[in-house]
Amino acid sequence: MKALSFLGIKGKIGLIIILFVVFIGITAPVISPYDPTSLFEPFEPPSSTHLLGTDDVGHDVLTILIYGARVSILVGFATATISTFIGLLTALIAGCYEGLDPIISRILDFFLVIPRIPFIVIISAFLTPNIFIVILVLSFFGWAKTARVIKPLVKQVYSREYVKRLKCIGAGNWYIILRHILPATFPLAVAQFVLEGGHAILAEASIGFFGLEDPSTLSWGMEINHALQKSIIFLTNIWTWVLGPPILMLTITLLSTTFISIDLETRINPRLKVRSW
Amino acid sequence: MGVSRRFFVSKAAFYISLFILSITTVFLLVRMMPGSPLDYLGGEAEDVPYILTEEVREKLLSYYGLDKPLWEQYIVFVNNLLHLNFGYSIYFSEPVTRILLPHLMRTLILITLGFLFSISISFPLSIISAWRRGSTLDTIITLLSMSIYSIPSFALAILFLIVFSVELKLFPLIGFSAEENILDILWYALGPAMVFAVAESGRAYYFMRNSFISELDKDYILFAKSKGLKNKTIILRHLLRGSLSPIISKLALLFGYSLLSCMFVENVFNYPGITWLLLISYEYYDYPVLESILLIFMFTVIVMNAIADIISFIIDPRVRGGWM
Repeated sequence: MKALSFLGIKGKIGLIIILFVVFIGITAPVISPYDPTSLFEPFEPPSSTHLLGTDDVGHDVLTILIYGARVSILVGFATATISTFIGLLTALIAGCYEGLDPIISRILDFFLVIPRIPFIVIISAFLTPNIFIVILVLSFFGWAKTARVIKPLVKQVYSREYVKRLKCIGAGNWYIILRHILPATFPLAVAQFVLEGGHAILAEASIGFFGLEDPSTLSWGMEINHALQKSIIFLTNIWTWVLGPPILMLTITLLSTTFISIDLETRINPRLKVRSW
Repeated sequence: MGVSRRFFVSKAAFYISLFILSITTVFLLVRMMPGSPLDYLGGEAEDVPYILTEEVREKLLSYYGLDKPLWEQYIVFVNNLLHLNFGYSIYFSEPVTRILLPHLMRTLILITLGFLFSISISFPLSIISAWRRGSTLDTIITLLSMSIYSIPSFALAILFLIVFSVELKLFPLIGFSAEENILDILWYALGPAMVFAVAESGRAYYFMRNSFISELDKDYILFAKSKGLKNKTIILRHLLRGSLSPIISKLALLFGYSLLSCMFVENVFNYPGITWLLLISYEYYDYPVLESILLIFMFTVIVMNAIADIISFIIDPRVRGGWM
């Protein structure tokens, strides 16, 4: 528990929830009650055989929920990794090589005005968005934000006295960057990583929500999309088990990433700190 | 004067290049989409496999100017845009502006209403909790707004529909009426606008609270307090004035993005706004409509960025020296 002392109580709660979702995702084939492809009677209410009932085509909702955790976590983690890596690299280059900074800044500005969801709609006409395409597209749109946030910090550290001294004793630029500047950006990069992970999970669910994902993908967003297309679920209480659980899982996951990232943010910028809760 | 002229010229050059870049991106992505608008001219493709003869097909292509090479189409497209001509919708067979404007109006009504609601909730709350930072009240408000911020807006919209339309039957379950009466339009916009306001208020609250807090930590506020000024005077004269610039420019940005963030709410409510049109024009490869909508999305964000720049230039003289 000592390793986690940098997290406050909010962050710890968030971390526990995220680890729980990760656990569900990894052990999905073991803990899910049925095979994700097996079909039963549609719209069966929750019972002892189907703890959360079945959906419109007859999938067991609990099974879909468990496999959906897998998609969300994979997309969140992979997207956050790729975009933090590229964003951090760009920030380091732009912050330490002054000549390249104006060009990189303009490229970042362009990426920041691209509307993410409409473009994903268009891109899904070119490629059927399976998980890997979704990850690539989301990272393509995500890295610029990270670069934008980290760049000022890199600049600030790079202009410090000790960096100048290092240069005087003949340290190479990349030695300074890797050994001295990269570690200084680490806390901010971690906060950005968590934030971007949350954004990616939300964006993936949004793509599913618009029904643009590969139809065979078992994600929370697609489940919500399928449920919403059958307006019959609102006439009776079917929505309580078809629509409720995926929305609840998504919200809990996003809450936990927000908790962690805001907790990290108050640690980096202590002025924002509220009481120690 | 010299500094501000250089500021405007370099900013203008930057924004113009952004416009050109976004026009090109939109054009290329849309025109290169696999599929053709002609597939849907004969009605729904899956219902009626409407086969056009080669001759008719070529005629139609040349009628819509789609037989030319891509670069020629691009020149025509840009030329039309410069004359504010958005083209002729292939699917609806009407000028794009005739199709687009009613839907855009509906969306604008929604986001303006929602934005007003959201600011009137989050602005006072953020002042209260920044002023009494660390109190139980602040803790509760912050926790609540963080939770709202994390809930996807479509989830909030579904929740609203279930509670107010399905269970309580206060609001209509479908997104529009056939009558085009202004009261009706407002009535159908009210539900989505409320959901949108709640969804946006978490974000607005959080950044407003942060900018108030960083302003409150400055020495001149402490000085004002030690002079014995009333809290009301400090907040109105000093705190608001000092933190208004970042807040207004951030609000302008948020308003620009709200055209995008309202997509989910519109979709859940089946609201006849721009999202509906986007999805239809995407489905039927209606190039002119699709391009116009994407350009509107990008232009709003760019223009709001420019407005945010100008606002911070006018309000905050420090910006004038420090750009680029």
